[in-house]
Order: sequence, then structure tokens, then C-alpha cells
Amino acid sequence: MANLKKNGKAIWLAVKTPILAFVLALIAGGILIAISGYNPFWVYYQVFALAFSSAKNIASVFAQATPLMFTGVAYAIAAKCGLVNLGLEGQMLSGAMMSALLGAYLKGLPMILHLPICVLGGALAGAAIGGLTAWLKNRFGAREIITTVMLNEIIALFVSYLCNDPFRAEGSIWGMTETIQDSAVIGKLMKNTQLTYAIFLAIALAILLEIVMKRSVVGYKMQVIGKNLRAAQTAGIRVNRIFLFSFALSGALAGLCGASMILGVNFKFIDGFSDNYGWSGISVAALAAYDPLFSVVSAILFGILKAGAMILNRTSNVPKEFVSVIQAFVVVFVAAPNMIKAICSFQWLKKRLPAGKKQENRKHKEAGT
Amino acid sequence: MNVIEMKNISKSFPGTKAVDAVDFRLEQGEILSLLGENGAGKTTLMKILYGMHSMDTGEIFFKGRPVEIKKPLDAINLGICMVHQHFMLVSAFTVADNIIAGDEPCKGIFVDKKKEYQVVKDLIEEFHFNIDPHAKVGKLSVGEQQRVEILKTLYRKAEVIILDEPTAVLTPKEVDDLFVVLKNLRASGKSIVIITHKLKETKAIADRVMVLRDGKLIRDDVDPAQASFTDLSDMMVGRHVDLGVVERAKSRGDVIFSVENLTLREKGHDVLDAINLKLHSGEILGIAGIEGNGQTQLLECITGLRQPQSMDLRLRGEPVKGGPSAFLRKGLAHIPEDRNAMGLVASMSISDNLILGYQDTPEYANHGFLRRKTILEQADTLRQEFQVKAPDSQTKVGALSGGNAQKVIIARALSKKPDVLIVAQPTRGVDVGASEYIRGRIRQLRDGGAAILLVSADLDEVMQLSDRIAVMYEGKLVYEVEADVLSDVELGMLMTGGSLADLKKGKEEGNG
Amino acid sequence: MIILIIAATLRMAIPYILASTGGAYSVRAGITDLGCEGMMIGGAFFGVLGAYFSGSPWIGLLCGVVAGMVFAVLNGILHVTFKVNPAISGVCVNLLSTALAPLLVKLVWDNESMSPLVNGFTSFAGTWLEKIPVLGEILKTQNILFFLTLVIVLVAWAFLFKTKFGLRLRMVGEDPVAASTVGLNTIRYKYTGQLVCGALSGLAGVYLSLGQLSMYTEGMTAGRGYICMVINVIGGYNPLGAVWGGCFFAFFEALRTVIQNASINANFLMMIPYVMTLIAIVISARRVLPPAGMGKHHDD
Repeated sequence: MANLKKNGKAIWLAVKTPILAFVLALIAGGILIAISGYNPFWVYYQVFALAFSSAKNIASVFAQATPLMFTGVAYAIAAKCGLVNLGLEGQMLSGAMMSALLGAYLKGLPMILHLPICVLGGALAGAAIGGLTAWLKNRFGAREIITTVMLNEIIALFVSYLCNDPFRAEGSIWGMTETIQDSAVIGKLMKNTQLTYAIFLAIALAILLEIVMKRSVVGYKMQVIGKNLRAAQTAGIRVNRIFLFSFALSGALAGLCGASMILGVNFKFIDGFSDNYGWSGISVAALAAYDPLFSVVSAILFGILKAGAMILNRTSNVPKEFVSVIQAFVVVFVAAPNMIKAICSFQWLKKRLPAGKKQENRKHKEAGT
Repeated sequence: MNVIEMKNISKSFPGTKAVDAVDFRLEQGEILSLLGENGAGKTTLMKILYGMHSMDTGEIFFKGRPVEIKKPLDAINLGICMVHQHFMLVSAFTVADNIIAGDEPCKGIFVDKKKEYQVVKDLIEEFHFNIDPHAKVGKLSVGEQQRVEILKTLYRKAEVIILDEPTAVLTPKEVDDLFVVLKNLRASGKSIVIITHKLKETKAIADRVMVLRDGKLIRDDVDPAQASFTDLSDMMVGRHVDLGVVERAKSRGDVIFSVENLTLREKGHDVLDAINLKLHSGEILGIAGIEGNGQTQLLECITGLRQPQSMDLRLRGEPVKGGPSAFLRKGLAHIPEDRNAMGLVASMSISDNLILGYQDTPEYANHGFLRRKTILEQADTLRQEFQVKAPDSQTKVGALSGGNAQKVIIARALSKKPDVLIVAQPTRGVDVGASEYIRGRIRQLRDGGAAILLVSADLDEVMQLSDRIAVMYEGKLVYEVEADVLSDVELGMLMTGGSLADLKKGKEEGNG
Repeated sequence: MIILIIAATLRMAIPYILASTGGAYSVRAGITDLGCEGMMIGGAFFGVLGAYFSGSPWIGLLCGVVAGMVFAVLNGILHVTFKVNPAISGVCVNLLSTALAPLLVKLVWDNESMSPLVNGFTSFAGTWLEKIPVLGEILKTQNILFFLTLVIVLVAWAFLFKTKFGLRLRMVGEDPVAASTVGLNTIRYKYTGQLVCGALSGLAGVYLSLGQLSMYTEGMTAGRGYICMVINVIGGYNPLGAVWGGCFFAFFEALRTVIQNASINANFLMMIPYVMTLIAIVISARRVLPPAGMGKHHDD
């Protein structure tokens, strides 16, 4: 019993910051909604209620969450060993393009071969870009913040070139590639929705990586590097190798995000199709405290908001765009746990107060509210 | 006349009382040597005076009137300047820019470049410093950089100049030059404080010596001309009555670990100079020395963290090369000097920390996955065996006391039955009980036939544990001797750059 | 043709130059300039918003600059006050502004991705400037912000390298601990660096919206803020370096618009400067270093 209580407390400590951040983000978003002339309570109620109002809407929630799961887990994996992978967008695009090309031009294969090749191709393309970033960091000391951002631009231009010029579908005005073969299509889980089997891949990978992070030697090394680089070096962990592994893995997941969108939803690479999946991954992972499995949960949470807002947008004129604002607020609040502390305690807490004082504080606050 | 008086100054940091009710005074036109071991509170006391640390209690008087110094600018405005041990210089700036930054000669909002260089040039000439004001500071030698720091204080018309370990990084020639400079400054009426632990230099330059030990004032009226090296060393190190348990090696075996011709060059000078070491199985070789004499670099080189210019390291006659993991695999265990920065991951559990560095061994890993059950079971066993006080093995190491955290590292290194153990500062920040226990475990390992190299800034510890002692001073092993041959005073003398002959002379003076 | 390209290059270079100059202030104070993109978007949007409600591009400009500064303050609060990793704080700024702009477009104009046309800055076409031989050809496509930019770059350069404020700001960026020992309030300087960065990045955004299209369209910054971060790396965190770096990228952008019908694909062409700079950055990564005190605080 005491153990249970202790575990409960440990879990609460772990999820306290994300939950508070999410609530604060909802409040901040609510203020924005109120300023825009809507009743935030009504809007939030509608969003959550609509998201679960029908099977189709629930499917839509998970469909929205699927790409975010991939990129969220991708960011989390890199973040675990202290890397900032701002290149998700580029890695995602390269994976998407690769799978689109493989899907369209690899002909005559049975589905059992063709689909895995396309999926794998997407993952490998993303992994190559991620691996390149790590190599540049290890070999030349180039900071990944700069190189990932550069690679994003280069890849965006390159895939745009590819779908506009050499691989442009015949007769199309807008830049897009040929439609993929039927043998490369990821099946739908529910008709007339965007929910595909890719979500199982995302969840399975998240579980697998959760296990890898928690149980494997590599995962252990990644955690040590992320938490204390110097101790990792002292212990003889080959930091460069782990960086390479982690960045490539992160890139592969981002590539899978692209592949899942192409093979399951769009069936071709359309110029500018990305709805900021890469950048959203950062919000998803941040809310999940950079944990792969929690990233799935936080992706679903964002999926609810996104899908709910889209549905609400159809029936009312509440803009769906406020969802990304809330998403951004989440990162702002999650990034600065000290700020949450400061906001929640209504004072600038620079040092930790002694336990007694803290309690007093809490009482004080409760009395105040 | 006292330029500065500090009364009843106290300052605590979490866990330690750095300065304990100390009174301090500085007279006009004197050079005061603030003497003490590392951690005696010298620097903290001076940083309080300079406004970098706040004090818990106490008062400061400047020329007799009480002043409040809350930030460095307050001190600077009073004419109190400090030259820090780690220079506060911007490598990318020129000498002149470094000197004037924060108090620039201006024409409107623009820095008056002409005046800037003129003023700096005049200043350099006035004190015969021979530095090019246009040179980038990053290109200067350490001695020249120090002169830039002194120029910074002179430019600010400092009346009181505090120098923190000014000779720590200088060559003997540069030290002589510095002393000439300091004497000139004294002649021009400046009051100077030198924070140091070097006796020779104290005797060479100081007018008066103030000794701190463990944050407390021991004496503040020592006349360096009258006091002998022995006296000063006694005051500084203190009489160590009880060394605790002493058990020397019973049987010493063959040489199993040797380092030859270890030389490491850093920024143009030899940080380690042709070091030779031999460790026999079943003995502890202690390296005594004041911190900053190359111990850190020695440790880095012989644990594979750093590649020196030359080194021949052998374990049982076999050369060992590569990174730290190669060293670990060959049976060279390492207890790093900075427990929290290098040895442990605070936000991970005890059991996770117990496998750090050994995570790839078949004992803990199976096809790339950790043997969680074995690891946990072993963690529970080790936790009990090594008396780590924690509710369970899942407790985060960051939540442990210093002693218990150190026991985790000791348990990790010792449980692998290493042939050679390289251990640095094993009991730093560890309470007495745990220290004794840790030392006992190290002795036990020795009696099992391992060869142990102990590096510690705590002379007591070196004397208590070692079977053989080598003294390190300025990157060299200057003396090597069997345990129990030299007294603490004699060792202290060697550690601070003196020789045993100095000591004899001092004794004769004392007798005569 | 050549004049056309020069004119277009200068036009395209202005937002790069402005935001890179701002970024230089941020980096010189020791903070990564990742947030430029977000500040630029803020400037572009709020510039149009201000002009929309007031009818004056100058009020719009003011709004854009202030918006950039607000985002800069957010970056400051996160990184300087709450010590968030500067990469994450920059991402926060970018995410927030990329999310806010479309929402406000929707709320204010009930449109998916663009604002209506507003009063922007008019070009010099038809004024006496156009009549200057040769130069007139170039000037006629510019507007008043062109000259403003020239002035700003020079002032920013002089301020950073010639005044006591600039010296102190650079010292804070190089070594905040050393700066605090000579009595500087490092937090104040870091915030100031951020504010300059926000103002100039905002102005760059204003140039894109009010100076070129006279409207706001979604994604109009097109990652230029990120490029500015890169320009600063190759330009040595110097406003004058920003001019060259800005012109370099702008030149290829100009080529893209001028050579519409060429056999070479425009996107492919645009990749050239990126790949070149990526290589340059990688090769010089260990040699050309940002200020030594990047991301450090005075009490570390």
C-alpha cells in the first residue's frame, strides 16, 4: 500500500509539469478564444464532445494523431540523448518523396513486397538525412541546429523540384508525382476516413522504442549521454556512435511519417502537402517529456484538438487555427518548468523553498483561491 | 591605517560553512598574503569583499566608514578590484578593449578609440609591462594575460587589488616578473591581497600573512620574516593528531602497472612533465599535492580520457591503448575525482549507476538488452554490501548524500575486482563515518592483490592510506618515499614547492 | 537583364539583411537567433494589420516592429529569465507566431491564407529618382525601406563595434561572467540584444508584406528567418557581413524570378546557395566560432 502510494506520487511528479502545461496552454488559448468573441468553455466542450460524437469522428482523431505520433517519437528519440533535431520536416519530406517514387515507379510487384519496400524506403531516406546531420556534427563539429535547418530548406527545394520537374505527373498543373500503384497503398481502417493501418505501425514502433529506451544497452547509453555527457565519456561510452544511431533513428521515424501520409492518405507527393508535421512533433514530444510511449498519448491529445476543431469549423465559424496556437503554448509552458512554478505560485521562485514553507505556500494559495 | 576592515564575516553554502566569523583587515600600502589550503575559505572571503558573493553576517568598512558591497560595481567604485584565478578576459577582444570594457573613454556615445589606446599605452609604459595594446588577448601567454588583468585594475584606479592564486599558472620567470610588478604597485601606495597556498612565495613577497583554515581565521598577524616554513605550514595544514586506522600493505607483489615518460603539453607548456609511475600489486601509491599541479591531467591520461603527447602505459607488461572503455575492459577501474560531474548520473537510479561503464559486459547485457533482473538483484546486494543508505535500488542517485553517492561509485568499481584501481578524491565531501568505511574498502581491495593509485588533495588521507607516497608539484613527481618516513609538515613543504633542506634550515633558525 | 537582376537582388536582399543584422545583435549578446523566423512572421502580419486599420504603412511598420519585439521578449523571458535551452526557446517563438498569424488572418479577415490589399510602401517608380541614369533603373523598383535599410545597417554596425554599448553587449556575449565582474548587468544587455533582433526581424517582415506585396499571405517568409541564422554564421555575426550574405542568397532568388522560362528548374537553382553555404559552414565549423559565451548566463 505504501509502495502504491509512493509510486503514485512518483507518477504524479512525472506528469505534473506536462499536465499543468497543457492546462495553462488551454487557459491561454481560451483567453485568445474569448478575445476573438467566442465562449471558450463552449468551444472546448464542443471540441471534445464533437471529437467523440461518432465513430467517424473518432477515426478522424486518430487519423490526425498518426503523423504526429511518428514525428513526436522521432523528436523524443533524439532528445533523449540531448540532441535537438530541428530537421524533422526535411527528413519527413525526403521519406515522403522516396516512398512516393517507389510507390509509383516500382511496378509489377505483389503488395506483400511492394508496400514494405515503399515503407522501408521512406524510413531509410529519413534515416540517411538524420545520419548525415550526425556525421556532420561528429566529423566536423557542425552544430545540428544550423545544419538541420539548412537541410530542411535544401530538401524542401529538392523535393519541390522533383515533383515539379522530372517526376511531375502528366497533365497536372500543381506540382505532384504520379499516383502510387495499388500494391503500395496502406489500407484504410475505416472507409471514408483518413485512418489507416499506419497507426498500428506508429504505436508498435513507439512501444518498441519505449522498450529499447528502457531495457536495451543502447537506450541506456542514450539516456546517460542525455543526462550527463561527461559521465558518459568518462564511462567510455562512444558518444559519436550513439549520436549517429539516435539521429538516424529519429530521421527514420520522420521518414515513416512522410511515407504513411503518402501511402495511406495522399497516394502521391503533392508539393507543400505537409501540415507542419515535423515542427508539430516537437510540441508532441515536449508534452510527453520526451518519452516515446507518452508521445503517442500526447499525439492523440493533439489529434483530439485538431480533429475536434476541424469538425467544429464545419458547423460553426470558430476557426480551427487556434489549435496550433494551443500547441505552441504547450511547448512554451513545458519548456520552462520554472515558469510554470512561478506562475502557479504567484511569485518569482528562484530557489527551492524548504518543504515546510512550500506547504505553507500551498495552503496560502488554496486559501486565496 | 586600515583601508579595509571586515568584521565577523560568515557565509554558508548548502552543506558547508565556507567562512566562519572571520575578521579581516588590510593596511594601506601593504602586501597581505591570505594563506590557506584549498577550501579554507580564502576566495569566498575575497569574493564577498568584491561583491560576487553575499555574506550571511558581517560588516565591511572602507577607510573606516561602513560600506555596502552588493555587486562588483560597488567594489569597483570604491577602488577595490580583483584578479580572478580564472582570468575574466575576452579572448576575442584586444588588450585595450579588455581593459576599458565597462568603463570606456567616450566621445558622445562612441568609444574614443584614440584616447583608449593612448590611455592604455600610457598605463603599460608607466608600469613597464611590454604588451601590445592592439594584440588579441587570446594570442597572449598566460603571464601576459595576467598583466592585462592587473592593468584592468590599474585602469580603474584601484587602491586595493586582490589577486587570487596569481602564481598558479605562471612559470618561475613570470612569477619573478609579477613580484617586481607587485612591489612597484606597493611603492605607489596600492594595497594588495594575494590569495595563495604557496609558502615560498608568501615569504618572498608578503609584508603580513593571514592564515585561514576550514573557514576560520587562525592568525592574521604573522610576520613572514619571522615565521619559518614549518610555522606557516603548521598553521595552514593544522596539526593532524589522529590519522585513523593505519594498516600498511602486508605483502607487496610484482609491478603490474607502469606508466613511463608521460608528457602532456597544454597551450605551450608542459602540464605533465616526463612522469614515471610503477604500481606493485597489493600496494597503494598515494599522490600528494595541492590541487592544480597536474593531478587532473594525470588522471585523464591514465584512464584513457585524454591522449598525451607521449606515454607508455602497461598493465602486466601489455601496453594499453584506446579510450576509457578499453581501459575499463582491461581491468583498470576508475573512481573519478568529480563524483557528480564525471562519475554519476544524478537523475538515474542507483542500479542504473552501478552498471555505468560496464553496461556492455555479458554480466549485464544479453543480445543488446540489459539483464534487468540480474542488475536489480546485484544492485540490491551491492547496496547492502557497501552500506549505501537508500530506501531501494530504484532511488535516484541525486537524492543521496555525498557519502552514499560515493559508495555507489566505490561499489561499482570494486565489485568488478579490478587489477588496478585509479581513485581520486575518494572521500571529498563525504562524512567521517562513510570516509572511514570507503578507506577500509580500498584497503581490502589492496589486500586482495590489486594495485591502487590514490590521488587526493587531502594530505591526511594520503598519509593514512598509502603504502608509498609520491609528491606532485607543477606537473612533476618531485619526491617519492615509503609511507611513514616523512611527517605531514615535511610533505606539506614538498607539496608547496619547498625542499626538505628548507625545512632543516627553518628548524635551525627556530632552534637558534 | 543584368540591371534587372541587380535590382531584384537588392530588393530580395533587404529582408535578409535586416533580419540578419538583428540576428547578429542576438548572437553577439550570446543568444542563438533561431527565433528570427517567428519574429519576421510577426512583423509581416502585424505590419499589414496595422496598415489595414490605420491606412498608413508607417503605422503598419510600427506595429510590425513592435510585434517582432514582443516575440523577442518572449524569447528573452524563456531563455534569459527561465534559462530554457536557446534552441527550444527559439522554436517556441517560431511555433507560436506561425500558429498565431493564420488564426488572426482568419479572425480579422475571415480568410484562409491571405489578407486583403492594404496601403503598402510605394516604389520610386515615377519619381525623380527613376531619372538618374543607370541607377534609376535599379532604384525605381525600390521603396523608402531600401534607404532605411542602408541607414540601419550602417548605424547597427557602428553601434555594435564603435560605441560603448556595443562593446559591452559583445562582452556579455563573449563571457557573461567576465562581463558581470566588471559591473555589467548582463541580463539587461541580453534583453537589449533580443529587442534589437526582434525590431529588425519585425521590420524585415514588414518589408516582405508592406514593402513588396502590400498584403500578408501565409508562409510568405518562406524560411527566410532560418536563412538569416545561416547568413550570420557565414557573415561573422556582423551587419556588414549580413549585407554580403543577404545579397548572396538574394542573387539566386532574383535569378529564379528573372529566369522564368529557362531550362533549369527554379527550385533546383535555389538549392545552389544552400548547398554551398552548408558546405562552407561544415568546413568552417571548428574555425569560425560564435561568441564564446553562447547560451551562458552570468551566474553559471
